[in-house]
Amino acid sequence: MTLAALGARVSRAGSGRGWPLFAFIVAALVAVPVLVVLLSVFAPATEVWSHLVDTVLGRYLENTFWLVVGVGLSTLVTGTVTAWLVTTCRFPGRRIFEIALLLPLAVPSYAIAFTYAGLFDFAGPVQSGLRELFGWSRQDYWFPPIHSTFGAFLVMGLVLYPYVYLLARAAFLEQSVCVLEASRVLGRSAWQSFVQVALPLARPAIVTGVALALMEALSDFGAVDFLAVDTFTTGIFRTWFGLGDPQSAAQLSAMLLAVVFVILALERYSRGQAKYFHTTTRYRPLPGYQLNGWRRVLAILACALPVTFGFLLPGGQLLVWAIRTAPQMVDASFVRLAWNSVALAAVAAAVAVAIATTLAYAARLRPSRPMTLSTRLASIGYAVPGSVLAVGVLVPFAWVDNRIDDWAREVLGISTGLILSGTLFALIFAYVVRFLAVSFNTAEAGLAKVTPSIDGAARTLGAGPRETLRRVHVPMIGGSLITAGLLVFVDVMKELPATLIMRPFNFNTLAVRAYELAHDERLADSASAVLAIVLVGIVPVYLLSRAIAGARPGSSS
Amino acid sequence: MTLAFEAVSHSYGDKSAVADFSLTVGTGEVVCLVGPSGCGKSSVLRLAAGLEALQRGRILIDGEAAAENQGVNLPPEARRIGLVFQDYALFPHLSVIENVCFGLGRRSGAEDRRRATSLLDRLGLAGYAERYPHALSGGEQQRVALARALAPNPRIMLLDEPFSGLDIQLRDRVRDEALALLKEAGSPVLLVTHDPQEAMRMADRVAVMREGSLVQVASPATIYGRPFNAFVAAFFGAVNRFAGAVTGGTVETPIGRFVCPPGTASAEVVVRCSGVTVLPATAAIAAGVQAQVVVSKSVGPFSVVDAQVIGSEASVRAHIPGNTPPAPGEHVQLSTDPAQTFIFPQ
Repeated sequence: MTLAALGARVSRAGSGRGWPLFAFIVAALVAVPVLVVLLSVFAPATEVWSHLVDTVLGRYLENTFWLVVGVGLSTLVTGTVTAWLVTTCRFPGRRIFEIALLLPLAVPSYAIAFTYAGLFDFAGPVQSGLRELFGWSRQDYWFPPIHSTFGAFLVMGLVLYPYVYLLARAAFLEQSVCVLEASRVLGRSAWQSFVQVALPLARPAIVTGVALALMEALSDFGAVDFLAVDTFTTGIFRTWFGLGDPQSAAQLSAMLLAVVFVILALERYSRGQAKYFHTTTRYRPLPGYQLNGWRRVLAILACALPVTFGFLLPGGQLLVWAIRTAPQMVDASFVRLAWNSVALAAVAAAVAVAIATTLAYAARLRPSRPMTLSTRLASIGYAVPGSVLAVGVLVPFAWVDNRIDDWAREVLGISTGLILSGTLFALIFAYVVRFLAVSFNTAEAGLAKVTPSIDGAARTLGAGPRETLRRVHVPMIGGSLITAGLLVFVDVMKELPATLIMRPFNFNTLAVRAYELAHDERLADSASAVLAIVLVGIVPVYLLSRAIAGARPGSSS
Repeated sequence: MTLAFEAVSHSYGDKSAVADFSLTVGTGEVVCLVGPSGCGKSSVLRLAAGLEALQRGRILIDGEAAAENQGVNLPPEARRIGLVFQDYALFPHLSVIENVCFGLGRRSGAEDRRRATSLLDRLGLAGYAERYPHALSGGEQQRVALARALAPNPRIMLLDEPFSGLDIQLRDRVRDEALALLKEAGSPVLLVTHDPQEAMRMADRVAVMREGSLVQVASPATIYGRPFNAFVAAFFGAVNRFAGAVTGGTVETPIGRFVCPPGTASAEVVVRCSGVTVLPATAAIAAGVQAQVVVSKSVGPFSVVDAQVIGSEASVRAHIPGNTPPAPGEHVQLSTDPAQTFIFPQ
């Protein structure tokens, strides 16, 4: 065989169309649920839909609006102020707060909703204590109701501000001291420098952080459901299960997706408006303003409050409940729940990392415009709320199931029932779609650190693309891949709405069980499961804190 | 064993990088591809390695097409070539011996290990087999990269600025060792460098490239002694350049008249700085030009003298032996060495 013929063969087998094809297929599969939801808009309105429009749609829109405004403002202020304090000011405990401010990230929004309801509703210890102290009865006082839109955005803001904090902190750290010093030399005070220079420079990062927090708030189901705030996610759930109308559920999903896309578009627009480049590459660590007297007290308070109310208080309450109820609650069935959650999360994480790595490698191997578009499309799931995704997956899966069933009945004379929908396969598919972006970004960032000449070296030494991935890239970026897997694992453990809608009959996870118990007003009983989820949620916080310690510019690492 | 480029052209977008490039490297021959940065020399190497898909032309390895227009295109792993990267590109997760054995196939048995070990011995890395790349110095990494590329007995060797990461003291030694080993291996070697001295020193033939095209391919002596044009002359050493109209078969420059080939209207005269002799003003020589020293300084092995020709605006630079050059303000006489003076019709 001549070399040329051999080459043609090798190129078909090894570096041919396989890689782009894989990327296109992944992108297409991820896009299906989103397209199904969006296309449902064109389906004729059912009776249920007009009923929804007449009765609840207005309330959904209003509540969603206030949720967006409330969570947006509270995360914006909390995240930016704390980030500025820990990066540029010096006060006792700063190093600890730098990490501790991330802790609320470990608390799912439904968990904080459960504990705050337990603490602050009429029968809770706070109101009971007040009544006892002052001898009030029900009519004698007013207490802000926790079961309200106000309560919902309050608790969500407490656990979602770390998104803003993280990104704002990174942005402040990147700002070279030269720019700030220039501002000082030009006659601005420290405060004016913050407002006129540092803040505008960090604006794109802050907006992105707020957008992420808002997407989490919009996809939340557990908290709003428990606090009796009717939003799209609870509406989708009720329309699907209560009214049994998948089509209207899909149409509600499309409306929620539209809101998400508006926020994404605003974020894009804001970034596009202001593309800041750092004019100097000389980095010197920020000197830090030494705070004294009342300023110092204020700074410590400003950092301690979010940590206390976002982590210590709910965590402590969960611990107290769990200690009380664990002897009854942690039994064989609890272990089975935990195993279900862990196994499900592990499988989803492994699949997501495998697909993400292949996708990132394909993009590296064959960079092109369609390829970039495919990877973008494959990452779209992170913006799709869990309940919307559930609808988007179940509708086409059920359609395929019915077609197979029809065919089997006609040809084989038997009914196959539901093969895809209502199985763990469907659930894992949904998880992978939702969290592929998390693993893809991590894998891509890992690969970006491998220089192209490493690829060239492996290839010229006779290793084909697949062999290169296996022998060179995967071992080299192993750390990143483990991180990617952990992030997906934890996200799946916490996930509630998609699991609730899609789980197979009689299949339960920790999150679902916690939701069910809380729903039955058995808050203390739900604590063991919730606490387990919070503890697992600390893993990414730990990873982030290590990344922060390692990636501090100017630090020797 | 040969490597041949036939009319190869390549562009990135609408920016042409390589234009109509033809070159053959024979068995046991070392050809250095040299040129200023951005001249396309690295693209030539990447095309030969298969890391870049060929657009036009043909690349032959041992007479068989490795790449031809947009049809045939052997992937790099099927070309059996050795490539040494500027940044060495050692696999950080593999030990030195594992790096060297990487290209020896999946089941690197005792035979492969022996070969790898002997290559490492040969390069003075005997005790380094189990170390990891991060624990090696730049020179050691460079030699491991060379051993790794040579281990699978490649049909051709390609080297991309292999010595530019080393400091000057180390560079000379590593270069000589590498050259000896490459010569021994006997495969055609194409080495890319931006350093003219390195090219002269390593090459059997030097290929000078400019803006995507080959300007001259010749032995180092020819390149230096008979450059094809002013660009080549200037690339391999500091020069003075004067242009002028041809009248009566000669061109007039501040440092004298030079005979031009018949039929040229104007010409450029290029005189190497080392070809300008500086003599006392009183010395009696026929073709001397009177000048006054403006700047002079010793740079160690030689001295640099800038002198202004009397009755002219022109300044002439001379590199003269010794480190006691004439002082600024002194009057001198300049003359030129015909072997280092080149006349190019324009």
